[in-house]
Amino acid sequence: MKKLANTPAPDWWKEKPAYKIYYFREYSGILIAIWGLYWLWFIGAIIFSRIILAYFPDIDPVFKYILFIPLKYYFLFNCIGFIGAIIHTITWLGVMPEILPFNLSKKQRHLIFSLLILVWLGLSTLLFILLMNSLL
Amino acid sequence: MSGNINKPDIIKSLKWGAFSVTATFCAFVLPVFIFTLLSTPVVFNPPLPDWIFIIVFLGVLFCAFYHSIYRIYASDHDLQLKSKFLFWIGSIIAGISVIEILHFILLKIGVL
Repeated sequence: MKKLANTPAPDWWKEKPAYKIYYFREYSGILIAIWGLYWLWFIGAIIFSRIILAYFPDIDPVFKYILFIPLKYYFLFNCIGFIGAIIHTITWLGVMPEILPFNLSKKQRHLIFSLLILVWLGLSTLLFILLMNSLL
Repeated sequence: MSGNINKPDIIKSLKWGAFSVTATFCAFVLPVFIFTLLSTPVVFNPPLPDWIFIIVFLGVLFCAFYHSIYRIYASDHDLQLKSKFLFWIGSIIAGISVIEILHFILLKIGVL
């Protein structure tokens, strides 16, 4: 990344509450990264269990336990990802009216935010129905 | 005057563009997708879910991963932590994920 001409102090983000909120939002990405890692582990467990259990049925139980941890904590990790995703989405939709290149009043910005939330909920419902139809 | 203007860095622009696109995708798709996974833990039941689900799933997983790693990397820069740690971790994870996704597809189409 490009190096800034005037480098700010390392604790610049502590100066205002808004900066802290910004970093709270930024680091909610960690929850989504944990969710992503969990699913890599999950897919890996499915693939490697098929191969390993086919060739080595008498596998060490400790290794087997570690391999299948993702299956055991399915709801926990998906809840972590869900919380991160909700924080990220709502704050992102909240930022969108602020970054539009128009001079909007506060009321107009609130209206756009409400419309975005409605569009998001509508699309989510549609996608939920599509995914459920493809699964069941 | 034009001599002082730096040429745009194409690779970095593309990376940022991908970050921006995955932000939109993640914002609209990720919550409902995880909600679906929580509602119907169908991934436990053989046979594997159909192609629509798998394509959406791989797309979501890629976007979520790229977006979150890029965001953490950008925050790392903003807070001036100046570590190469995240870069290496991200590279290793990206490599593993590509191998696993390819492996998964090859298993699904019956090559392996």
